[in-house]
Amino acid sequence: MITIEALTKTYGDRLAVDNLSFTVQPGLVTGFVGPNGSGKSTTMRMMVGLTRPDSGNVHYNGTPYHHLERPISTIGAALDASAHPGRTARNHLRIMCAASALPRSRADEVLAEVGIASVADQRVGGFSLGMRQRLALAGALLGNPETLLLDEPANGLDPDGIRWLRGYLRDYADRGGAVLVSSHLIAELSLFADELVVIGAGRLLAAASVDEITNRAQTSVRVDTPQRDELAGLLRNQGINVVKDSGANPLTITGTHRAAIAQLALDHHIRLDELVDQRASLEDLLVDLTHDAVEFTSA
Amino acid sequence: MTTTLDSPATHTAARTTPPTQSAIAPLPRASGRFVAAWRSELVKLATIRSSRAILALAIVVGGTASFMVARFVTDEVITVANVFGFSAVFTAVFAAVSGILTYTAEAEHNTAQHTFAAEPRRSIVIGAKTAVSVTYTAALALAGLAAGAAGAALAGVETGDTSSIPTTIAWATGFAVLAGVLGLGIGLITRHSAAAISGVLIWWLVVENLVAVFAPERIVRLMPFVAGNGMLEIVDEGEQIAYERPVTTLIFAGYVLAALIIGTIITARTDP
Repeated sequence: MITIEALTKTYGDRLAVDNLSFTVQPGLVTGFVGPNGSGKSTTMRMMVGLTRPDSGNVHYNGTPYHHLERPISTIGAALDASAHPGRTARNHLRIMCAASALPRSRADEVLAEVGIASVADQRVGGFSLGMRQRLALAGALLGNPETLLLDEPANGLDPDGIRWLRGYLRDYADRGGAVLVSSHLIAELSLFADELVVIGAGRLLAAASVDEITNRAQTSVRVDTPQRDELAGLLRNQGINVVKDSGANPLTITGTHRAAIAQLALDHHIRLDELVDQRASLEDLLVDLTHDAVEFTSA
Repeated sequence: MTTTLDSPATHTAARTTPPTQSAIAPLPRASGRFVAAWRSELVKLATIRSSRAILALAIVVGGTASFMVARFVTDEVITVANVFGFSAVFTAVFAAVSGILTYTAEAEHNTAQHTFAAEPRRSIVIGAKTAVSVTYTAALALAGLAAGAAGAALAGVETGDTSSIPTTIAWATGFAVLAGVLGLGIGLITRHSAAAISGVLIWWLVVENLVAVFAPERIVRLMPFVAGNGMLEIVDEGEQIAYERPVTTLIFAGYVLAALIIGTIITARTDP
């Protein structure tokens, strides 16, 4: 289990990560989401000792990263798809094998595991981003770690690759591994993540299971009727919130449920053409959650 | 070029070990970590084209320089024994460049993060880089000197007094090794190949020569590459500027140590 406690990091006068605490549990895929510049990558770099936090700490089953016997066997990190362009994929991994006293044969094993054994002797400079992502994942798997830490691993992968990655990470967690994966593809993440950690402006906004977060969504009822004004008036008289556009769009009603609206319409002989429950998507929810913390927005 | 990647189904069978049951032997402590980092640095050196290119350059330039001197200098007695060491000046330049690239190549390609994630104790990594740089630059110096001797012999000069050859080899190798470590230190400080290489070359080949024109001798002999070149004792009659070899070596080694210590501190305190 990874325990992140009160992690804080500032760059000059900019607070990148602000007193961030959460845990990553074995057997679960934990999605790490937040807008650009929210501190996801900085947090992940602090988790593997690449960036020194101003305060706070990270423990792997109670041990700080710097005190791990062989870090690569505890946590496999793929923070970006970087590799020296002049080296072959196999040599790139052999360097990592040597650094952790792993047998050279592990390089070939993990290349096969991520599906790029056929390009093992090609220089990385000729790889597509998707192939480099697979190579980065291979590097993370070298030490057969208990935990995977992946920063935007789906970047550059084709749809087949994304589906493969999703299945791979799901399977990894099902076999007892802990997976922390950051992604801006929230809909994609919702397909295989168990837990979500949501941050904005370096602060923790939510940490809960995907189901819990989805259940927080405010439900509404969409009603279409030729007697919009009449129904809207009746509902408002009962203190119910009604969103009614000036055009011919259906009404959006919150604060009550479908059956109550149907009964009210029946009592007042109002014809209903449509009566549907609506629930915000996970993406909508997370956009709402992080709305105030978005640093970069389009005009 | 069309590259076919294995289908996901192909590698499902490879995942046999559960993540929580590591089949890999534990890593030994302390010295084992240094040896692992050293081996990793050796693989890096062996798998990059620039290290082979620099070795080839040292051989070609060293051999050519000795050949040209032996062939075309006519105002003094030229022998293999007193010409082969000329290659050491060029070899030291190449050694400094290789030392710089030892870290800047990692910084520029973002591979330093893999290195420091695998071995979080950065001083161990820098120690391993230093050890590999020493080994490589010593080999570079010996190859350059051998090429220098071959170049002079090809020019057809006499072998000469061979008693000074071991001393020349030792000082030339020492200069190249120190130049390589100086390059590593500068690379750790700058993290940028072009800036570090151009800065070192301009300082070495231009700035110090300009300063030597007007600055007092007591200042000039304390400059890093005047001190370093003094280790070779390659000077014309009446132009002895540097101190005796042991003293001038200490001066140059002081600069080398300072660059390495500053580079280590910067690397330990900043993000890769």
